[in-house]
Amino acid sequence: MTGYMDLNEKQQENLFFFMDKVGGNHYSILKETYDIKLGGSLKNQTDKVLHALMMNEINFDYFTTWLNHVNMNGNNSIYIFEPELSNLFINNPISSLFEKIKKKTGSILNTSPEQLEKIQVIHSTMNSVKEQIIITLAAPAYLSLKDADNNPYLEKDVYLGYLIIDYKLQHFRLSLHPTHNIYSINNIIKDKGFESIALAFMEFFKKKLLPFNYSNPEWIIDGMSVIVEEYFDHNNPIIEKKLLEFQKNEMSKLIKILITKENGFKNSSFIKRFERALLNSYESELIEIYKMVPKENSFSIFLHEAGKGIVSFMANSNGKPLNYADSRIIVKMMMENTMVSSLGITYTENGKNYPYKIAKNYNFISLKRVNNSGTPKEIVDDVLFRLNKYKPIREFENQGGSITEAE
Amino acid sequence: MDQLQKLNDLLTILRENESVSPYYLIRKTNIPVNVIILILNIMVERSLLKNSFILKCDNPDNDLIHGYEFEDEEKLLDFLRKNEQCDQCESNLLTRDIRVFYKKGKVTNGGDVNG
Repeated sequence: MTGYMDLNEKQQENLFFFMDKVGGNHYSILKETYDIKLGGSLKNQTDKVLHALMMNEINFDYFTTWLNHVNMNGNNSIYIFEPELSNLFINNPISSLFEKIKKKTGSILNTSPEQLEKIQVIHSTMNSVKEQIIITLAAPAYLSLKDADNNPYLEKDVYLGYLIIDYKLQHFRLSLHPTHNIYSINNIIKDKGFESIALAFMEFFKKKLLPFNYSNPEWIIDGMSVIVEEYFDHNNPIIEKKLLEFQKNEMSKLIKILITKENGFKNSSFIKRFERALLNSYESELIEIYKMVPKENSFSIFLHEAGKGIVSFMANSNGKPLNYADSRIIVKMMMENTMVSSLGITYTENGKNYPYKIAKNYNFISLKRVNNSGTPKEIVDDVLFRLNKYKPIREFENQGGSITEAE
Repeated sequence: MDQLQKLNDLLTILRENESVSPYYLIRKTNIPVNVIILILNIMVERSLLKNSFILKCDNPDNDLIHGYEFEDEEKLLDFLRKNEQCDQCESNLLTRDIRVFYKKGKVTNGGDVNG
């Protein structure tokens, strides 16, 4: 394929079908690369791009990649899958896996709602610098729409999902666009989340392209705990010093006074709890006087969910960062007594906020968007790179699937 | 030794019937997963701790997720044999994600759970 003029009628029709999915933000990518004066209504921009295509002002390969990535930079939810064995990436070098994928890659120009019956790879590209393969997966879908008389009806559609194989971070991640009015994807009715749909895409990939077992990404629980600790850390060496002095010189005296009042308090279980309560209280009051020292954190936190046994607890500041004075003592108690189950983090770059809710499923990590603003793939890469820094080395000890018990 | 002392402290501080997850203890003590589970299971055998198995349903509305707690595997299996779905909302039961917790038994002997 060399250009627009070589397309047959059906291919032109398919091109128009996918062009209808393009929003203003995605047009701006083309605008930055090619000096096309875009503006006005979406229809007007579509016409200008088509004209530029016909005049060969836009490289056709560049255009098809751009069109394939139409839903990649939205407020997508991210699902991360890690292989059980880390040598999967060594045994399948990026270039040979890419060649294998390319052989099974169809074309967006031959993809239409009428023809598509099951998940297919319709585009693949490799980024050698980032060591990523980006695959566009097309799945048959239905949109739930309403006619002029407000009667609901279903319309056949094609849903585009993105699988990014990241050799640096050694994981597979799906980037799924929360398409408006979507009713079902690959015959799976979309309820609140995309979990089942993400699993269907991954099952397709594992069956057709690269079989592997998922690992249990338990490290993310540790990672989330460290993020919370960093966020609420007072970072003040004066407080740290005074706490140690208090522990060394005053604690035993205070405990002695307390335990003489009630015989049962002599039990070491009570003594430990008194010690913890006194230390926490002393620290909180020291923070009032000496204040926390501001520091650069990777993320701020707006939501903290934790649990133990059958009980769960939540601190939620509805999108704004959890306020130190309002939430530190309570979140600290949650951290001391429970395990974090999900965390709302905000990544900030160039003054723009990108909030995500992270949670661990039994074999994947999800990062769900909690607002509607679009996020370029580069930002998602940055978020995941920073998140991956919380992955402890210890995790590698478990390669080979020796973990026997889930939390 | 320092790690075991930490584990002892974390179990000592628990109140009677308070539950703790093995991963919480792993995180706080840095003891490897297989070692900590071995220690905890020995403590269950000695009745210092009790097992607690938590099963939840997958209701898409977070506020409507139901949880079930079982004190031993037999009771959990018995429930699963009798119920294919959540008996409160008919959602699926997350049988692939059963969580194991440990609960502190009756505190005697000065409170130190390692005796």
